Amino acid sequence: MGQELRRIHVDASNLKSIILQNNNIDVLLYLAKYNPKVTKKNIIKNFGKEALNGLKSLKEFNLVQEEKGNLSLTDEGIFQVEGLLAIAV
Amino acid sequence: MSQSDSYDFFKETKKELEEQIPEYNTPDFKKIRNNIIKQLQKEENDLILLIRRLKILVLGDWYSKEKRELLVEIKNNLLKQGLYAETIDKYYDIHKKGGLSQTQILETCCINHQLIVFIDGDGKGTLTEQNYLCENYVLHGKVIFFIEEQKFNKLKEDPSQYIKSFPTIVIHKKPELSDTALVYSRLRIYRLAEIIKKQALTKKGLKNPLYQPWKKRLKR
Repeated sequence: MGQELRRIHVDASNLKSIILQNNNIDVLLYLAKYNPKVTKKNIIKNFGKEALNGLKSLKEFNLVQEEKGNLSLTDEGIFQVEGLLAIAV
Repeated sequence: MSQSDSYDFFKETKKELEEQIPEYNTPDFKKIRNNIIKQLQKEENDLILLIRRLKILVLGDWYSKEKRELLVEIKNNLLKQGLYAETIDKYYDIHKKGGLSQTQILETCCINHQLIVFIDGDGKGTLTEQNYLCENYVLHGKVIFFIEEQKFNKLKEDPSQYIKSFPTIVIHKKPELSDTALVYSRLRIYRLAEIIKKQALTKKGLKNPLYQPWKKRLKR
């Protein structure tokens, strides 16, 4: 059990780092506001090419998904953004 | 408390987010972004982030509209209180033939979730779930078993009954199930989060040379 709990702790810590990295918060808020009509092109236009690295991490953490070229928040992504707004607003 | 089967927490929350989040590149958007950064840098908010990362699986009878609505209601109730919850339909189309079996799906679900809210039932699917959970005792620590008071009173005198397989049994009155599930799930998730936090701080309980991942333990 201990290792399982450690894995969860590392996962949550990594998630925090990922969210704080580059302009990932902007990307998450942007997707929450405008998806599903958001493409990688939109992301590059608004946040620069380096935002694609952040996007990749957000996908790995199952916060963002890509379907037929459209980017959107997953259920977990929606849930996390709701949580971020709850602590910030 | 009762909600229609069609109520989709994520769809509704997404709509609310669209309304709540200001237009991109406006001062209000930047203000919210900066507030999030500021709050995330506070250590006390780590616990909130951790709690929102822990996953609950709500299992139970799925064979009638009423039963499905009850599970969805429990799930929505948990989600609204900041606890991430799913039902098995997220992984398994009960109307679709072929593909992965329910047992195979359960194997994935039970590994990926930190808490299983198991509602007593008599449907075919629930019996599969019940048997699966009963057989895999390594999962018992994750399970809270909810049973109606009247049914429990009928079974409690006979220790050979199936309810013996669940070490954590919560008895509830029928109309109070959703709120009872919320109360006990929240306590369990907060307890788990505190343990995780404490273990990370003290570095105790983290190293076990004999540790085996859940999947491997289930296959033994």
